[in-house]
Amino acid sequence: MTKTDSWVGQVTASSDQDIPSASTMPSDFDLTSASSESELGMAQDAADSTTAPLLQVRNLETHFTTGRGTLKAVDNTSFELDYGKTIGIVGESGSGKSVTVRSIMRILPHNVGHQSGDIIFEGRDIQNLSSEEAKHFWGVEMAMIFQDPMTSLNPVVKIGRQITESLQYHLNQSKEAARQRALELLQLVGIPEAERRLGEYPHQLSGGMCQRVTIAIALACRPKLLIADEPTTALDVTVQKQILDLLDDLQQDQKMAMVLITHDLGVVAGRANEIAVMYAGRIVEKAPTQDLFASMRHPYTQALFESIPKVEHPSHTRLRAITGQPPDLTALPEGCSFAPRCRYARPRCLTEQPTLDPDEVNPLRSYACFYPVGTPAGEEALAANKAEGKTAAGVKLSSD
Amino acid sequence: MAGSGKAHLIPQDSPQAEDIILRVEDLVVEFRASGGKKVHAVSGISFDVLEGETLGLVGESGCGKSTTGRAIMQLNRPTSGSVVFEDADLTKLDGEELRRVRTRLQMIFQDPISSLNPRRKVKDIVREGLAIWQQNLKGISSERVDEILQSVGLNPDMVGNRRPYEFSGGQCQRICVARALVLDPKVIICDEPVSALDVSVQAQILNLLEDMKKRYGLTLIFIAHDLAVVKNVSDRVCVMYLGKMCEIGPADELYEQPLHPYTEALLNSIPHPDPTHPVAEDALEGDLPSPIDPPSGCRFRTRCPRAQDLCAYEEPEIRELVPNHYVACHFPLTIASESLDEAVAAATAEAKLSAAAAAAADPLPPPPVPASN
Repeated sequence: MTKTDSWVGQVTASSDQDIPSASTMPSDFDLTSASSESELGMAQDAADSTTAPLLQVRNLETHFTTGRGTLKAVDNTSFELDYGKTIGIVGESGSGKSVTVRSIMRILPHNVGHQSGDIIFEGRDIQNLSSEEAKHFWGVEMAMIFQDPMTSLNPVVKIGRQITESLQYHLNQSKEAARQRALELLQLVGIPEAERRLGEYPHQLSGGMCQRVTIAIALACRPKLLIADEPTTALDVTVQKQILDLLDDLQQDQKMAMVLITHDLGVVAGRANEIAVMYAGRIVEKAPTQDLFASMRHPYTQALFESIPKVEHPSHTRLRAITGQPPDLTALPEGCSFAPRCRYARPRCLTEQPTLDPDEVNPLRSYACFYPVGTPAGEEALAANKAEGKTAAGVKLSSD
Repeated sequence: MAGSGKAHLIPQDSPQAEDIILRVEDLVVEFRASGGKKVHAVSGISFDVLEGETLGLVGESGCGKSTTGRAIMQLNRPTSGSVVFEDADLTKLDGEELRRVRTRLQMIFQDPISSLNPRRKVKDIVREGLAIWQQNLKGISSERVDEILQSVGLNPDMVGNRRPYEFSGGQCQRICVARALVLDPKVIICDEPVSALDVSVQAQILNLLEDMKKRYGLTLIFIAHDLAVVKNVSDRVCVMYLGKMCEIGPADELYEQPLHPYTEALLNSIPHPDPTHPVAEDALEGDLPSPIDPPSGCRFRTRCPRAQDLCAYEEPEIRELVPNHYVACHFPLTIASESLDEAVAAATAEAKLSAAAAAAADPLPPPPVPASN
């Protein structure tokens, strides 16, 4: 089997591959055997393409046409994700993290003015799929869960029907088999009294329970990649922990890769293998989680981290806030987008845009900055700014 | 957690009593639900707020923290209980008297953009309070508006004539702070003032609130669900669950050594921005029970890892376990889990004694023990 047709094989089941195909799946297919079989299938894929990651995003650009001009929501963004791994994308609202994954999922609003770049899934660019192929690609190979579980479920359709819909449509399961699988899925995501819940409507469930249902729907066809866009932002802290733990367990069980989007560095710290920090539509720093938290190189990452109140600090600890506001994406500054708020900004930052380059010592991490934190260049820049009392962009600095 | 009792209120003869600026006592707020049922949003909350302090109210959504804040303002009239502010019981006031008091008692809401009138200019929004109370001698009021806008970090010449939609969330929240400050209030109730804001802007607003508190000698009641945010701004923290109080104590102490199992569970659920921090194993299970039909006894017992039979039929009274640190729990965390059995035996025996005494005094049967779920 070539790696390009491996994903098609799952849907069409035209040949005798060792990936369990939808139509040949026994209807009482249970999850434990499923995961071991898909593991086999994955091992096959991995053997086919030992070096190729599951997902490659290269130079992705998504611009919108708005009344105020072209809005560069995502600009020149690249990242890779291996099988079974998690990448956390962190950023504030408007940083482009949601638009990045929506570009991958092809669920963008209509006013996209310009889109370019490669999105390669299992060695194949998924932007050129025919509509027939696409129909059984999204939702099957790649699924997504959203921030607000209450609005991502259809309020007038029963839970059971919302789960079985994709099973019947994508996997051609019979009504009874799909119902049985839906029941298993609800149990899998930890919903008590699953039988009764199948017949209920979303409004009868709490927010946490609804998010479990959307996870069950996303997992129904056993995707290789799950995109979770702020899955816990609308939930309480105790429920957030339940959902994150659940995603962790499911991911291990199903050997699924995950893109976890959040604005909360705390959420990704314990969950992601790699973290990409976005600011104003670009990735400004990308590093394995341990390395990132051990030393933050981009001044924005560091500033974001320092502005979070920490529960370990005594009360009334003064927070180091980032001055100013994120930039207007229709009128990005020339040079580095963060320069107007940055403590390290030097004249060069205002005219020249840094590119995301690998670190000289640790090539696994990369950042887009001329004066990275914790490097001689960065320290010099900060010292020079402190001596002048302000940065090149005019942000006042105290000498402390 | 049931938290009845008022052991944590400062006694009238204590020297601290003079510093009490606001006292909430036995506050109950119920809403009517369909089918003649009642939503028990707040069920007997009491606390003191001392002049110049920040009291944090924290808990999950549905715990009644916002309802408490609104009931203090009399935005929802409490079903019963009293709210004493500057020697006046607000629950007994209405009309102009209440409106006059409210100039000294202001509120900041969660969503800064929807809490500002989109059609009015910023300077008019901030000036409105002054205009209503006839302090609108033209020059003076403009000066005051400019001064307040300046102090919240907005340039009055730049923003005064613009409208809220021209501003970001963080700037709108600054306008809301300015509007709350303009009448020189004593107490500001902040209802989730930063939860709609981005992290970097959240820090700006939290710092601003601290500065304003110092500059204008304010007392804050700070309502939020984010435990780290609450700790950062508060002197004392009160943890609520399903309309009841679990625990109240000095912020640092309460976070360092929580006494209530619910507080501990909340603290264990916080995601730490540090990958080396171990992820706590035991998550709190289940969801908040319905406030229409809250559990008997301690309301937290259905999710509590330490719940015993006693918790189902006797509501714990709030008591002082550590100086100034009060908790409403039969089996607080000062009891090690190994010696929990002994504590259960002792507490049950005591409860039986008091139940027997009560039965002897009153021929009514003891309350039935509901099935635990």
